[in-house]
Amino acid sequence: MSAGTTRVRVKRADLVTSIERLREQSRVRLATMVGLDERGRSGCFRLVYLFALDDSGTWVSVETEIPGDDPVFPSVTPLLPAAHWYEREVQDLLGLQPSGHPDPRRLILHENWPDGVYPLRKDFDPAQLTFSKDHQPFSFHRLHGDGLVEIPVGPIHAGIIEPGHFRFAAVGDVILHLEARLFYTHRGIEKLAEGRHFDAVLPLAERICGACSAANAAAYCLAVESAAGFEAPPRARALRAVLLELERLYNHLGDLGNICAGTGFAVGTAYGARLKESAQRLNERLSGNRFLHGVFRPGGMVFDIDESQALDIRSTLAELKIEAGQFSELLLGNESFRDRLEGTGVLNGDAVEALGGVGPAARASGIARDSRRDHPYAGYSGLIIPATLETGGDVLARMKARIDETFAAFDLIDDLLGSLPGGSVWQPVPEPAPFTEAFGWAESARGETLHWIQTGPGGSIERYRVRSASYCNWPLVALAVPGNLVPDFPLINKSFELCYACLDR
Amino acid sequence: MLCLPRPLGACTLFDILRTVWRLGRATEAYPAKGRGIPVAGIGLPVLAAETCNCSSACVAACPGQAIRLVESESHRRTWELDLANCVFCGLCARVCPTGAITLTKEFELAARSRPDLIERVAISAQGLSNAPSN
Repeated sequence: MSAGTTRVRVKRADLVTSIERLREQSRVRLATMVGLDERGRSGCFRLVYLFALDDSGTWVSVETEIPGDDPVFPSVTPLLPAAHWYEREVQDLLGLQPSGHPDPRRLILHENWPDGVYPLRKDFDPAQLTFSKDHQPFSFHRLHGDGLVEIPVGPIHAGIIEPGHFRFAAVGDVILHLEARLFYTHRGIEKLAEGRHFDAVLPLAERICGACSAANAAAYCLAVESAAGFEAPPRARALRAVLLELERLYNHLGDLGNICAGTGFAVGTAYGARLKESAQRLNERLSGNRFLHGVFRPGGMVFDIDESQALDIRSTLAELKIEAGQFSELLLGNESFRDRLEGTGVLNGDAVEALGGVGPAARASGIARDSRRDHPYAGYSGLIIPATLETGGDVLARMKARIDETFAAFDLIDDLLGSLPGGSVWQPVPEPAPFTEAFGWAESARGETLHWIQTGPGGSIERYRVRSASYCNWPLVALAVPGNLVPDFPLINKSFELCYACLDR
Repeated sequence: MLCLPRPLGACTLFDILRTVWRLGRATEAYPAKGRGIPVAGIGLPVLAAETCNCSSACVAACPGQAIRLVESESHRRTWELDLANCVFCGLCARVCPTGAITLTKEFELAARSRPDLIERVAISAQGLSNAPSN
């Protein structure tokens, strides 16, 4: 697998104990879990639990085979809560049952999807699919009590955002419990990738999400390059870092504005939107696309930047930096605005650790985790990434973390442009051997996104597993909300600003 | 106006109003005032009929399967681009072996009916004679 990965193969019955032993030895974080249908080659399914050792920049995968005629495995979730959604996902999509899982409900598949039909299995035939016309109810956890009100919100929302359903249990204005139902925009991207050449998967990877396009594309390209034992040329690696920081910048500027929208602070929302627009127009001038589609490809970059473009980046960011400074003063200095943010939506560090949270949401709760520093990639190797740590864990802390990261991004881009290596920005990637496994990652604006691949014959992709930052962090939102007021929910949600599309794929 | 003492770094309503005044209006008067797209921008892909050699590289490369090469009963070939599926990635132009596809800057592409979203170019006889044998 990718360099620095230790692979441990265990028997199915030893899965839980071996992970338990691993956790006793080192501080590990569950980075992803992949289920594979390899019955055609070995008669078995396989599970790969990939752990990140952030302290040493290494990775360990614990893998087990599951007999094709007995698709059950012991659930790791009671030991490791972070595994919860991964195990429900392999149940839905591959039909592998996690025995002992505390929440064995469907996660991804619609309630009307027929039983026993698993889309990620290699023998899945969409032509055989029939849906029941009877409406099956979705089983939300129901709470009962005097004065308790159940509030359903979405999937069509007040603001124009992605679809997701939130089911609140509230007493008066105070939220006791929140359950989120997501996966409305599940498009089957992982399945679509299977059988395509690795170059043809790139347009899919870029479009998993609009706001994390560059990060997802980078993680995918790095996975392919890793599988081929190839490293992109130095100039490409530096430019990748520049564009990844530009993506972080426009996201954070817009997200700061969106936090204002959660409190009705319209001036702040508009200010953030203007700054974001300025950043996105820069993206368009550089790449032809506001969302940075079409900037990376396996082997390096799609285009190079010349002196005038480097100058454009510098002068645009110089202006933007001044405005961002004034914007931050507005946000941090206004008492009635801060009052809404302070103490709202507190997420404690233990919850982040238990569920493997990433990104600014983790850093705002005191968990110093950043893949640019812990597992350097592309042009980040050798750069100093400031640790933008806050400990409050509230909306204010998440906003401050983003403000700090915005200014860090200005400096990082400046450093990178000031030391851009010469040379080419693209080299052809040699065809990876069939059935090579590798993964790539990038720190998107929301945290680490990790793309795991298994190649097939002729440079095709046999299995593609995307685990975006939002996959780790959505469960954290449900933990940050109880105890807060219903009107604070949009604000708390916006302080995480997670992608639905990245999660759903 | 009453000026109350305020702590350092405080942002008052006056500061907000001053910011609003300073920033002014950013809204652009489009379409009243036209605008283009940047030099790097990707607009409508256009096929030069006499340069096309029917390699179908564009058909294979298009991630949205927006391009078709259609042959009529009288053996006339037509290149069809369905704008409803085009994502303006530019891959078609990049892979074309003869450089027959140009990425123009045309972006005002709305149509009033679904069929009007399909661009059609008749491949010339010259193109057919250059076609690679299957």
